Amino acid sequence: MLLIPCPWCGPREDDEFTFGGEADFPRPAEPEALTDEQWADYLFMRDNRRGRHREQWCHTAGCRRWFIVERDTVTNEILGAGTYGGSP
Amino acid sequence: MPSPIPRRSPLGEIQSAESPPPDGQLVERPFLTHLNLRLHPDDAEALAAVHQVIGVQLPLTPNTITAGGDVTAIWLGPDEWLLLAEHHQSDALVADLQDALASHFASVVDISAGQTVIRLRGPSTLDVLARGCALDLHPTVFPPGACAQTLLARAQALLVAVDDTPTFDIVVRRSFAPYVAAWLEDSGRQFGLHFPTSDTA
Repeated sequence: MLLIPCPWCGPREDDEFTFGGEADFPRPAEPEALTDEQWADYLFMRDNRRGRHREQWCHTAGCRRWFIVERDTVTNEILGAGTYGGSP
Repeated sequence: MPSPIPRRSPLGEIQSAESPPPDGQLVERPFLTHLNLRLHPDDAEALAAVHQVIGVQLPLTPNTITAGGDVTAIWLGPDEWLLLAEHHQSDALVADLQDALASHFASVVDISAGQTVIRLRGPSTLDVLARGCALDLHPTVFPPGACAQTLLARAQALLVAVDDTPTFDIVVRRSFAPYVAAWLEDSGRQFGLHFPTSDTA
């Protein structure tokens, strides 16, 4: 079990959360200007890093806000959490 | 003119007592007004306008409530609150809030029909809840005035610590209510907890 620190509600069990994949993936401002390859890259390609990983979580069963968690994918240690715009 | 459809509370078939005992350990509080309110917490004017209408400040501290008068304001998110009030105020309260917030970026939605409140009270309360909830609800951690949205026996629920009897209000969706009610009776069986019925009331 992971204990995930929601920036608003504090540490809660991972049952309450939904995983949202890697963070820092802004949607391209002009998708129509991209090639198919660039668009597919945005849609599907992720780094799947080993070690420190910034990822998105949603506190689905709690305050229903999305936020960012930094987690070590090897040890599952949570290194920090923060809101969008703040630094985790 | 057709006769009006009688209203039914989500637990009307489980709690059949005409007038549940006011000090019951496990009762539904049916037909309350539930309003979902959203506005930006930095909008001081909107906060003041709401305060004017409901008589209490919206809680800005996560997972707390403010109570007083007829309305209880419960924190749901940084820009979202649940207002609980007596049922007869529903339309008037919505209209008053919409008037007060007309010039602000805000929304007021009447969700009274979508959820209900179960009140659990008495010395066994924490034991009953602990069987289905991972949160530490002990008063030193979760004092009266605290609230939390979490999972209770895997159902989404909003827990509100009302007083140190202890008394908890459990807000659940209408469709989950019979399940949560059955679970509470099961969890509370060793303490003799059950909803008041016309036989027992």
